[in-house]
Amino acid sequence: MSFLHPLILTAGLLAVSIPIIIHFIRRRRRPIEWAAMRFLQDALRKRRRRLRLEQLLLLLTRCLLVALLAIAIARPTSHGGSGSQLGKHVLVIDNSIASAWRDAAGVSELERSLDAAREHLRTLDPSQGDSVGVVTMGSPGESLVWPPSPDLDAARRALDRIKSTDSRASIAALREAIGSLNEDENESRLNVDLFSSWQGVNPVELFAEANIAADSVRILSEFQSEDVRSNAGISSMTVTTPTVVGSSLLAPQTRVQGTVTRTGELDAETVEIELIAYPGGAIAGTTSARFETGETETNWTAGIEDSALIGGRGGRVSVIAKLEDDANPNDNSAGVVLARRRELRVGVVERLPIRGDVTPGTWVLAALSPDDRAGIDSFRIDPASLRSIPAGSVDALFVLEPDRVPDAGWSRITELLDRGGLVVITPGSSGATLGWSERLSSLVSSDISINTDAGLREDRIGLQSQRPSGLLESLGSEFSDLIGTVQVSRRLMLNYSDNATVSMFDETNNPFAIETPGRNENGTCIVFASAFDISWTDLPARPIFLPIVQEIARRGSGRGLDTIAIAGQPEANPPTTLGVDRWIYDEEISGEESPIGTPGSLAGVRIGVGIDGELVRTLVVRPDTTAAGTVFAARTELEDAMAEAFPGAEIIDDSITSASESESPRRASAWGDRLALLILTICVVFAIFEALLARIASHPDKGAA
Amino acid sequence: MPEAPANPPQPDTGPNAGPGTAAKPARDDTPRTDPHLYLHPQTLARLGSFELRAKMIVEGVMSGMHRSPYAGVSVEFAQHRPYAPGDDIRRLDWKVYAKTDKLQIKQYQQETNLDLVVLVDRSGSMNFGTRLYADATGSGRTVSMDGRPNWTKFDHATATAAALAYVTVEQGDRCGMVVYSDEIRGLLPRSGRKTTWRQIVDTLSTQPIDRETDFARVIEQTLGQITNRCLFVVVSDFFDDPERIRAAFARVKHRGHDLIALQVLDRAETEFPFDDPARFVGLERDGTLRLDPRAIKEDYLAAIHGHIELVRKAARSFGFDHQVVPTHDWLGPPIAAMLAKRNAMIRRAGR
Repeated sequence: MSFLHPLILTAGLLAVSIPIIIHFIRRRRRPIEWAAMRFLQDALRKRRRRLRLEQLLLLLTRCLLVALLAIAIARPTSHGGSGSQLGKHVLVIDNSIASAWRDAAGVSELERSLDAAREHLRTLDPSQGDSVGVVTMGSPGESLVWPPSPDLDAARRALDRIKSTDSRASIAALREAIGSLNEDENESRLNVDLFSSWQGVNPVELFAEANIAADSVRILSEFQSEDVRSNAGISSMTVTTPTVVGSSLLAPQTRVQGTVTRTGELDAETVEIELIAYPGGAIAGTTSARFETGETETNWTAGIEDSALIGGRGGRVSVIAKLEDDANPNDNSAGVVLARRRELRVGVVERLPIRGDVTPGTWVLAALSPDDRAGIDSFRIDPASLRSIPAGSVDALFVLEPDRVPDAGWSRITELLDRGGLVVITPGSSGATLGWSERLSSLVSSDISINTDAGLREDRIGLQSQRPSGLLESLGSEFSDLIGTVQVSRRLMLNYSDNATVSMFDETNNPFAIETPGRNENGTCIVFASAFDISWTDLPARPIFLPIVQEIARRGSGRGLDTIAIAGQPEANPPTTLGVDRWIYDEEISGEESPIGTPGSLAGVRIGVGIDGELVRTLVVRPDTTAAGTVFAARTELEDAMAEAFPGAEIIDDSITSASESESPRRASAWGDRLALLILTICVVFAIFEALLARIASHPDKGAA
Repeated sequence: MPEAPANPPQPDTGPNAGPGTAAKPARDDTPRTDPHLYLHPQTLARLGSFELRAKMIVEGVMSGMHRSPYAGVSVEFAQHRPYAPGDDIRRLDWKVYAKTDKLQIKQYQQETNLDLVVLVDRSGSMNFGTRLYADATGSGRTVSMDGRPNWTKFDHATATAAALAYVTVEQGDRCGMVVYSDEIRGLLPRSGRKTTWRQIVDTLSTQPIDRETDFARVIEQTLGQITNRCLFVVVSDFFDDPERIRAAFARVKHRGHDLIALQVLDRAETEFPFDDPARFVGLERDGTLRLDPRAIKEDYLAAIHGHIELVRKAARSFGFDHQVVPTHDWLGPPIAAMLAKRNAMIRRAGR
């Protein structure tokens, strides 16, 4: 059993000495000189034993009464331990992205929480058995001091090291830390002391199914619920062309686009966005995003100055978009990583045609490299020799005769997709589907298949002119103007699932081109319903074919090599697989403060390198802007969620609050309430007993009557 | 009558007079004579209306108003009795011998003086008192000569003794004084001179000592020095063993003396008006008691009133008078009531 107010208990137990002191003080009064002692002695001799017993009982009753009152007021709890607040204290510091919010004076919520934690540390006394652990809440969280140590200085140093993260609040580290305590360590009382402003926190999500064993949970930080706080952050950012190649006129300008969200005051305003490219730190572009009154979200787009893009390790360039400084600086930036390449290497998997024949490969090669400045190095690869192509030697493959690709060749194709490459598959001119259609399901993540029952459709139809999707999305009006003349006379019927993107539809609303990520969500695979053969469709001969091939090759190559993750999410701390030996921080590319030490919780750019030290892929970790909200959790909701998360523990709200203190609910377990009530009842019984005993002791005859 | 001491009563300076208990420092026993402290005007006014000499028949040397129970040498013939060998032949009535040829001895009924011996208890228990000094004396003083603010049983006892002695001496009777505790601590021979009063006051001008009362021993010592019959007036709280008190009374009766027992008690002793737990320190080296008065009040009152009754019965059993003299009352009423009763008894005996 332990107590909610151990100090009161201590004071109460000390107060037990009061009846004893009074007992002796009364006896030490100024003595009375008395003549008739012999009669007193006679009287006392008769009652001595009874009087002593009564006095002893009276004293014991009074002491017990005081002690029981102290115990009842100290509020016993149902957990074992020292019976006081002494024990293990876990200081849980909320350093989530919301904790970076600063007030007008520049003081962040994290600093407030840390100050409260330091203040709380002063109340602990290792000599009395207190020990302290420090755990952070910025997902995934860290155990900075664990297991709990009596070294309070270590805890103070740990508090000094805590910085706000870019991730949402999480109690995973707390749960893991407490779970790591062995049985012996669990014998003493475990007090979880939470320091958070509870801003941007969803208590239900935070404490969902936590089931953490603790004796008490104390909310010790500032709890404000009436402020209207404003903040804006970049919630998303994408780049149109992940691989920037050459400076050909055929290469479209690389653009980035994104979304800015805001909370708090929703007046009309314009926020400025600046793009900075690393390495070099040059300004690659600027733009602004306009919020109308009441809007919480607005989109922005900006072109990147090609001259600002200087390739770093592995040709990578990171472009960081930054908002003007506001209340929460942690969600004001987002980044993308580009691959700055001199040229793309695209292989066309097709047998070498007989001299003079125009094959699909001929059309594709011509579209890929119309002149020497295209920046695309295209070449033909015989399907039978595809297996001999070194890994990483091509950025994209146009598989135009899939029915002729051997198993080893498919392995190479799969490998390319895994590495983030582009694979474009069209039916062979022969129309044979047996064999390669079955490969699709293992090649891509979505459920794409060829409807073999429908067979080969040989009806002449056109293509829909609506704006294409996926990699072709940027074609826009150009596509609409030119696609109308395209005729399709032979086509396969493609089945697809919801997670695939239909880039182009035919007039019968059947997919003409389907785009889907590879099996590991890496790379891009596009399957066309018709071969790029004139006998199937006149698309290769139409002007639109060149931009289609160019867009697909340029935008599809290298996509997926650079992974986007959200700080605090599991993807932000990926395993060392997929050819990655280790993840490193490259300041040249990232241009931001090193996230090392808090993996996965800070936004930034990290690089996965292979055993040979070469860059394999990059990881862009972005702030979890959805957790950077400025709305406070409802107190009752928070306490209800905590009561669920810490079953049996006392939930104590000791927050410094701007709201009325009287509204602060103090939860105590029903067990403690019942015990306190029982003790108070016993106190009443003892009080009555004491009164009767005192009466009997003072007036033996009347009392007996 | 005891022999006259060479010196008037001296203060106790021996080991017995030292600080018997820590709570009660030794007092200066140097006599501080102030007769008015003992002789309250009201008291004397009451006592003066009684004829103390008429209260008893005692053997005395002074012709007067008292009829002696002894047949001795005096002026008033009482009777004849046959001569017996050893009788003083000077007391033979030769005239009867001449007429009857029988040897008869003449016996006379003498009228004698009253010999009063006042025994005042000076033991430690007499040093108790809860009445305010100013309230008791009526002389305007608020504290005693030695600085006490309270009127003790000893104060009351000495005042009583002085009053009795004064009236006695004023009547021309003889009065002696004994101050005692566990033994005789002061002695003044009987005397009928007017200057005796001054010596009595000096004898009484002392303080209690922290010694117990040994009444039987004191009576034994006193009787050893008295040859003729006396009236003993014992002024004491009688906080002694009842059996020893009874034995002492028996000795007095056996020697043919009469005795008046004046039991001086404080109201606090008979009512025990204490409520709060306290430490009671004995005045006769009888230790300390820590107790809750309310818890033992009933038993205490039963014990002390039982003791008073035992003393009364012991006195009455020998034909002596017993009177409780509360310190909160004036000296007159109890003594006057007792003397009136005594007078009536003597008259009955005379008839």
